[in-house]
Amino acid sequence: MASRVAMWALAACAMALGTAGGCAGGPSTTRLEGEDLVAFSERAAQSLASSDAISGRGPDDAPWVIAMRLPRNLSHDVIPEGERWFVMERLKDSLAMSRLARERGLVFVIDRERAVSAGDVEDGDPAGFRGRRPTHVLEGEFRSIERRSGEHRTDAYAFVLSLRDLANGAVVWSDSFVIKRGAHGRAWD
Amino acid sequence: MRGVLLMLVLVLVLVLGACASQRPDAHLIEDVRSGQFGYARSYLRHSPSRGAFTDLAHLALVNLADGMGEESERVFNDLYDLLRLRGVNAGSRLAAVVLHEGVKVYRGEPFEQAMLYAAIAIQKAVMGDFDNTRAAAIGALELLDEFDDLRYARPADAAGGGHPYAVQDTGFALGYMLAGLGALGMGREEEARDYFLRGAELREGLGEVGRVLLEGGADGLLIIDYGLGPRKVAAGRSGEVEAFVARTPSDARRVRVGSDFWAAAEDVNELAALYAWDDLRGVRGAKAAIGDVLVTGGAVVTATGDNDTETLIGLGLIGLGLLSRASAAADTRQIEILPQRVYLVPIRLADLRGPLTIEVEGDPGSRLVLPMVRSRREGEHLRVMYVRLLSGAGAPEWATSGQIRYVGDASEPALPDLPYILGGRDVRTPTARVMRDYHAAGLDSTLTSNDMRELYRSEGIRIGVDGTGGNFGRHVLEGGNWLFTPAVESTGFVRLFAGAHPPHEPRSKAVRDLIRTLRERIDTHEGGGS
Repeated sequence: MASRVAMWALAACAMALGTAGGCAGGPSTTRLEGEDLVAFSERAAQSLASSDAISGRGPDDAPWVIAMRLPRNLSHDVIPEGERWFVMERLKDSLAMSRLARERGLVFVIDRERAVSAGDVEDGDPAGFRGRRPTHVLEGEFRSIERRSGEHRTDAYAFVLSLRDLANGAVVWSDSFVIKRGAHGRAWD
Repeated sequence: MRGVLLMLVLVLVLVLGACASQRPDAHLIEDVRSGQFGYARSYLRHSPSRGAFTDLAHLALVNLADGMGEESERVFNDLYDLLRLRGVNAGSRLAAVVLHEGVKVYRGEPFEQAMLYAAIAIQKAVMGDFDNTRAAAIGALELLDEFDDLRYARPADAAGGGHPYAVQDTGFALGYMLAGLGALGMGREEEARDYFLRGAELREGLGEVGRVLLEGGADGLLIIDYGLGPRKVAAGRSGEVEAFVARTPSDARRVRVGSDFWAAAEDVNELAALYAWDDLRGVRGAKAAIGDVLVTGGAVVTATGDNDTETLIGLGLIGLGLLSRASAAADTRQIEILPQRVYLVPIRLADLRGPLTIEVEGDPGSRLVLPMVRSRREGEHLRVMYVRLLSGAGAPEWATSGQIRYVGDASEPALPDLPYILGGRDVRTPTARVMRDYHAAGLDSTLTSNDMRELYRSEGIRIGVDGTGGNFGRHVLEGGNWLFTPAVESTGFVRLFAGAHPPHEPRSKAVRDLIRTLRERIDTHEGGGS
């Protein structure tokens, strides 16, 4: 009798522990993930391609040489430089490989070695851009805000892009793209 | 039957006891205390795992101290990934209550997590990646802010206290200062000022650090770790109380850098007292009390029992009591090699002349002389350097020699010398330019950099640490199989390049033959000249 009670007690304990574990769900994070970066680059490419600044251009217009800068990270998430460049390179590839670049006279250049400040672009060594002096600069910025409620946290990330004419500093196009990430549970436990 | 039952109970008690405690890793701690980070890394590679989180944390801290933070970026990024996970132990809370805390994945006390975020921020700062310095430091502040919100039932997002940027309300001065450093490195001065102000509100001496950095009085920042953070112990009769015992005591000793003295920016003993997470203390206390009652009751039943059944019941109660007491022991797993304190020292790099001496007041064993400090690179506004000081016994000769004895990729030889593996003192990566020096030092001029690389290969020595994910072994100067150059202003660099090492012992026939040929040539040359 006693052994049967003990068996039932053990089974109940095991079920309780198992149920508690199963209900809790796995670990989660509010970090940006690879798919988010891909989504940012794709949405940015679509937006830029359909913008007035680009769609109004023709193949006979003077080419725009667009220097792409490393996006700044003003978010609260560590985004390694490699991942930030990944977004820009994907964006460049999806635009530069398309007919759009040829039809609209766009050339995209990335210089990893130099910090591409506006001053550098005007006075710097054009060889840094493979012999092409940039006419425009495409700058990006990651931003984020976080909200907490109990053990739940949501981070909203914005990827803000702007295309600036280096001749006069005018912003000819800008857009921002938002992705939200939520996660539940204690951060420290 | 009774014997078997007793044995079973004892085995269970021992198993639960083992879950409960983590013995201090004396080997790792001693290597870190004495600055032997290369040996510490080798040890970590071959010692049993203490869990993914602890292993990564230890490797990150060791590599940072060894001046190899930039080369170990993957370790830091992986660690950051783990730190940002939420709800890791949500599924094991009940099991932790019923069985033991050892069933939980160990991911550090809140103060340990905050210090690891800080280590990531420092690693990024040393790389000049100030965006991510800021992000990692804010990660630490958000963590502690959230922790306090939940345990004190504070309304979330209510903090700020008039600070437009530094809105997190914590007692982590180092976190605010690193967030400010990141913001400053990004050119966001107002934000940096706000974070520095928060840091100075917690530690008075930090006001001067922030002021000097903001006013352009320094173009370099030296981050100095010293001592060992507190040891976690299981106190109380059944070990049911989690407590922290200082290994390096807290005090007001300052660090001397050159001729200037600076107060500590963070005291990890104090941080541990503020930010430890012991939600199961009550449960453990109850288990210990229940265990006591069961053991006493069982002893009485066993002693007064009239028959075998009653004796068995008594033994069973004793067993249950022992089990309950064993499962009451506090979880003493911890990150073993956090520093006890951190100093932040602004420096004017252009004013530095000669070696730079660093020493904590009253501990001559902490003295470290940096033989060289590089000036800023072009386009670099602020350069961050990191050293981890030794503590305890007297400083070893390498720490105080102040002279560079070997030539690595960060320096040029005063006179051409042979590669270390061929009897010289040069451990640079072989390139065409380096080979010209080797030829001038007497190496056969037909030998190319590819031939030299082949010689390293034949010795089993790997050049560079790319692709290792920060998991590499000791430098060839320390008898290891790796050739690399740590950050010049690091303890690892000083140990490798300012220390004296025994000559390399050739392992391959190719190198042995080449050394013999070189000796014969030198003998002939000297004989001809005499």
